[in-house]
Amino acid sequence: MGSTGDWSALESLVADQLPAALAFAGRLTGDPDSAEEIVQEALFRAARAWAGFRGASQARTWLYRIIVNVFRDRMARRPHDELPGDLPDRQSDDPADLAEAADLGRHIAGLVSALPARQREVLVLVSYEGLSIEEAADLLRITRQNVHSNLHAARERLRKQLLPQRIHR
Amino acid sequence: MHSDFSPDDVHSPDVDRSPGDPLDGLLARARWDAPSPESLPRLRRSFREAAGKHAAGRRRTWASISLAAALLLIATVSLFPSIRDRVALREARPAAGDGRDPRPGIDGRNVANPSTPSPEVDLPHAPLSTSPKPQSPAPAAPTVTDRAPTARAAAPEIAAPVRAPNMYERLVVASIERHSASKPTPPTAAPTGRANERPAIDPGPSPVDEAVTRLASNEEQGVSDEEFALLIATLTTEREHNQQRLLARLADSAATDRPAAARLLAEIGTPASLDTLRRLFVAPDTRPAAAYGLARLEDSPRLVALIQSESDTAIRGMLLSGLVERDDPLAVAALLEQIADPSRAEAALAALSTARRPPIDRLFGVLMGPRIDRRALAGRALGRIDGPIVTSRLVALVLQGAYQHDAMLALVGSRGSDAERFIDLARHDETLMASVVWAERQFAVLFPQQHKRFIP
Repeated sequence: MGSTGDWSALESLVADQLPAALAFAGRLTGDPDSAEEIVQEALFRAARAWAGFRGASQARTWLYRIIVNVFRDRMARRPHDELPGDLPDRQSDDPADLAEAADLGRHIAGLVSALPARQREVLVLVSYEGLSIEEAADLLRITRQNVHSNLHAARERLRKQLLPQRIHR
Repeated sequence: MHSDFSPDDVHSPDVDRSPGDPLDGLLARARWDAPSPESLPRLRRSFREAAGKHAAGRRRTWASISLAAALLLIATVSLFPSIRDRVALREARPAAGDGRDPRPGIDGRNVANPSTPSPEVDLPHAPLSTSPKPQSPAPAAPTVTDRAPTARAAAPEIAAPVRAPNMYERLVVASIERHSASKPTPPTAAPTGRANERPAIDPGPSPVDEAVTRLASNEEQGVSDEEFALLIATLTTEREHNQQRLLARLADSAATDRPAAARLLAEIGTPASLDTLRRLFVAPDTRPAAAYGLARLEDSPRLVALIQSESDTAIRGMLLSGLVERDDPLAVAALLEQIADPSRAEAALAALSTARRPPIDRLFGVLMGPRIDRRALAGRALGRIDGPIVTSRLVALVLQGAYQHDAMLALVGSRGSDAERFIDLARHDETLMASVVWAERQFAVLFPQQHKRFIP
């Protein structure tokens, strides 16, 4: 596919998959800005690698694999930003902000996006992107058993974090 | 604003799940912040640019290969007669002296064993090896402490002409002598019966008084940097004592030389002077001098609060000059906040560009940190520092591809000649040109008032 230098096919793939790819990256990172940056880097890599893409896997899987690789690179190399989260700000005690911060949906999303990287990848791919165990294993280039164990660990971790809270609600 | 993804039924495979697992219901309620509406158009645009660049690059590559092949063909054709004559000459020579039987050629003449090098070929005497050729040690990478050898090191020592000490040198000598005289002298073992032959040292005027007078009398035209440095050096020989003298002078609120005294206190004061400096900061005549002292002595939270509330650009610049020397997280966060404010950015960047020890490592930490907004600001700050060491670290990041965009953003904003050279090279590099375009565009969006290429 890519070996023919068919740029229109790549453009079509990107046009079709870009919103979903951005959402996927957002679930991985938990931050829309970082997601945009990861997708941008992934698109650069995709443009570079398109000539070598032989169509052995689905184009969507190929693009998601690049996104996962960019995400892993950043996770592996990024040192901790030690600066304070925000400077003292009078708006920080705004009731509207507090209400938003308490929103359950965002809280759950935050917990998912704070999982260890591999667990996060597996959970997002399987639970939110709808991939099967085999597809996730193929995309992440790990064994099915590895996908199983990471998925189990992720769910148990979230269960401990989420279900006690639900009892009190 | 939240993602429109609404997984009413989160897909769970056959593992770790029992029917009606409440965890799935919770996971289905997860809501991620949606990307900004500009994200998708921005990504599409940058992708089109990247794809276009790569396509053009590939076309250029194929064109280059075709051109090279054509040139090779032309060269072969043009050299063919020469090669043919050379081969014919070699074939005409008898293959003798090598101990091997000559083999007949296709035309009946003898040709040398093809596996044997022709005696006409100069073989290298050294054995061929795949190991890398030993090289002389590479010169060490330049470091911060690298300095070109000075002429002074090689030049013979030349006796300096003798001259009379000036007033400041006399002040230094007097201060040292007074310091020596104030030390308790050990008791002598036995009186010799002679009177102490050493004459009593007249302490003379206090160096503090002289310095204040000197500064106050030159308030309008000011003293030179060298003179001021000498004054400070004089006063720091007895810092505590002189600080007390200055504080005593400043206690007189009616004194006309308070700005001069405040200026000296700002330079030599210790944290014990902080309360006085804070009071001086409120008075209009001593405010600038006190600002410099507070920039040096105030703790970071209070200094940050002062900077945030200060509306006078000059005073804020003085306060910032202390902030940019501090290698602590709060100070760096406050610096980035200033850079983010278009009305305050230039003052912060100017202070950073003159800092002696800016927090480079911490800024690189932010550049490689998780917050995209701060990464861009750290890149802006590092770009303004633009020393050769910072530039080389940024270039290394770009080439490693680890934080290519942020480092490229910093280089685009740099005023250093090394950075400009690199950007010019990167602009013509197939793998970097898209990143340069992106960085320039981002820079123009994020720092429209500071983009050197957009400002005439």
